[in-house]
Amino acid sequence: MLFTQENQNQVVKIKLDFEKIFLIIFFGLFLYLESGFLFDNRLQHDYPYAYLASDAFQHQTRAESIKDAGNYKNEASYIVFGFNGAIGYYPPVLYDLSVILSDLAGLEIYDTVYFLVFFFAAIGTLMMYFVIRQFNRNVAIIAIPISLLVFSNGLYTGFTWGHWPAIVSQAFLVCIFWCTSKIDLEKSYLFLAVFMSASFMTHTSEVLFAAIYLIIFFIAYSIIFRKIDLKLIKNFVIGGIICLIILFYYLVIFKYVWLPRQAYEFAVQKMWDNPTMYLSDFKIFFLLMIAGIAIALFYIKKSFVPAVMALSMLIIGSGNYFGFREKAFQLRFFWPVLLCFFIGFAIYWLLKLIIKEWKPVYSFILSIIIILAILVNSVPFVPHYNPIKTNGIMDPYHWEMFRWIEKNTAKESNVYFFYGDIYSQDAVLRSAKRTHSQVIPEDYVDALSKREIRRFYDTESPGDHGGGVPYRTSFFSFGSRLEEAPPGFLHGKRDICNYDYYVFDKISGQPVLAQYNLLIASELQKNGSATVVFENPTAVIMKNNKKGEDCIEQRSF
Amino acid sequence: MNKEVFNSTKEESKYIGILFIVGLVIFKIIYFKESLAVLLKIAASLFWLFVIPGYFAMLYWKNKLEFAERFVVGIALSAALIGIFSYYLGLIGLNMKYHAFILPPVIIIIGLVAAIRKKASSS
Repeated sequence: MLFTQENQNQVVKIKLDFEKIFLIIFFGLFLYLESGFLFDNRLQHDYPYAYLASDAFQHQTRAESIKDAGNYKNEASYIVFGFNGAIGYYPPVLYDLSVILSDLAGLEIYDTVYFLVFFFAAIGTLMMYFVIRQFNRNVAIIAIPISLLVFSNGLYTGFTWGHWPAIVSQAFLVCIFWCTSKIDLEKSYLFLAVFMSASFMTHTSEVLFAAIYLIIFFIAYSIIFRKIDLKLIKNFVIGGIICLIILFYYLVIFKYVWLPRQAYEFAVQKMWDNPTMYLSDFKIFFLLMIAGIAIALFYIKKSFVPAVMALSMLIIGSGNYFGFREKAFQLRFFWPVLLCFFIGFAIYWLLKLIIKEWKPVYSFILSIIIILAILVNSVPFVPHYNPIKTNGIMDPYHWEMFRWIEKNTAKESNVYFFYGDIYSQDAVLRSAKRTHSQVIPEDYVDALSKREIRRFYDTESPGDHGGGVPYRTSFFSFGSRLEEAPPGFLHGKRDICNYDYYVFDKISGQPVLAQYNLLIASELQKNGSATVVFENPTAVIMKNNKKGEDCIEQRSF
Repeated sequence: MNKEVFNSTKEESKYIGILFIVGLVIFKIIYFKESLAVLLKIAASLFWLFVIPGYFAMLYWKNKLEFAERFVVGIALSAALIGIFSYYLGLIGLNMKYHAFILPPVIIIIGLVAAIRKKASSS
């Protein structure tokens, strides 16, 4: 179509629509790559699907407990070692959203909580697009495909291993960056207040990062533009005050429960025990990133918000070298989103040296090329998307067993789990929704190697001890059930006869342990101490008929 | 004044409708093993919880931000508001199973009232 005065509006409209179509396709692609394969191309599963680590179950079971209670006043007792009356202390936003979506859509919590993490990661990426677009639309189009690297090797585990609140909070962090790109907007402090509050109430450390960013932003703004912008100060102050009002109740919990237990202490941590990303993992994009930093600094007045944002996140994400420890590593789950500006800007600027008249279509073509380079594994020097396709830790039979316990046992009953391959990820056990203990495998193996059937095994009481199981003594003071518990409360020799139910796995990667399980089960059954109340191809549940009595004969075999 | 706001909302509701259908198609492509009924429920729930309240919450800034940006920011804004206030409503004793029917309408009404008042004060 020829551009004339008459068809000007039409041409502009087509251009705008093309951008929107690009965004819609990108959103779909992002969601497809992150959750399509992983969820086996369905949204509704029969059990927690593609959960690969304990933390994922931690969040799922907490959300489930909130749904059961109808609120998050208290932690469910089975999450906190059987204690009643512990206050709900974890940042609640992700849980609340997953409960509401579950109620409305009729999906199980284990599906909604996982889906929402992916959904908000995609929304966070689109938000980043608008942050960069404020500076330059072409750079935004070129940069945004880099965000697909959140599904490259180590980073994908942020999703599959359950760093969910951190990821969702990072999406809100991007929203805070967006606020600073719209500081001239009337009442923009409202955005700042709401997104800061949401970030805090999803995963608190991101708000610390946001605060550092806002300080850097203010100082850099004052130096580069050589003025103290009163409107900026006003926005930050009013936004901050509203944020404090919104957060007040939860802030008290945070101050008295979390801060004393996770106080900042300087430590250099070069490695993390979780998979993560290092700058060198960006491969060729790392070189472009360096170029992008130099170019962005050169054009700092124009590229101010995305440049300061990306630079701040680069520094904070490297904070493991100067005291932020695992929190810095967690931020890296979103590094491809947070740093994509530098890479996109470098590509655009370098090509602009050759191509004088840049057309928007070039940006779209480049974007497609970058997407293909990331997706096609044979492209050298480029980090790649790594699809994951697995059922995860849980399987239908174990899930059936957990559901049976939930539905058929008294709420106050306690359950003893003998050896099971999946129970090392101990938050899985909270799926039973009962107070639980499990045998410590080392002692179990010791008993087996000595060919002994014992009544007392080294036992662990797993649960969430991050907040010390806090309870309120007044509005501003808290006690800790965990700190008040007797020594050996969490670990120690336990009498298996003191439990209401036993769970034995019939199948194991180490068959001898499964056989030992069944030997103990038959021993309990033989003298009538326990009866089988549930059985499926994977697990047996037995009810202890002689709780507190001599339920098993200790002997050699 | 009200009429102006309602007319512009009516105009943009077409886009929202189109995006709902597009969203459903995207969901069907990604989660092709899922039944359409389930996908419809999820898409409708996402729109009810995040998109529609977000759209109305962003109406106040209609003249400053274009639709696509308001659409995306609105989703995040609504999620933030619902996530935060659902926690507090639960604490004061309102069971969470009712929140999906209380919070989105409240955000919609506040957004609409703010947009109407802004329009009134600016004209």
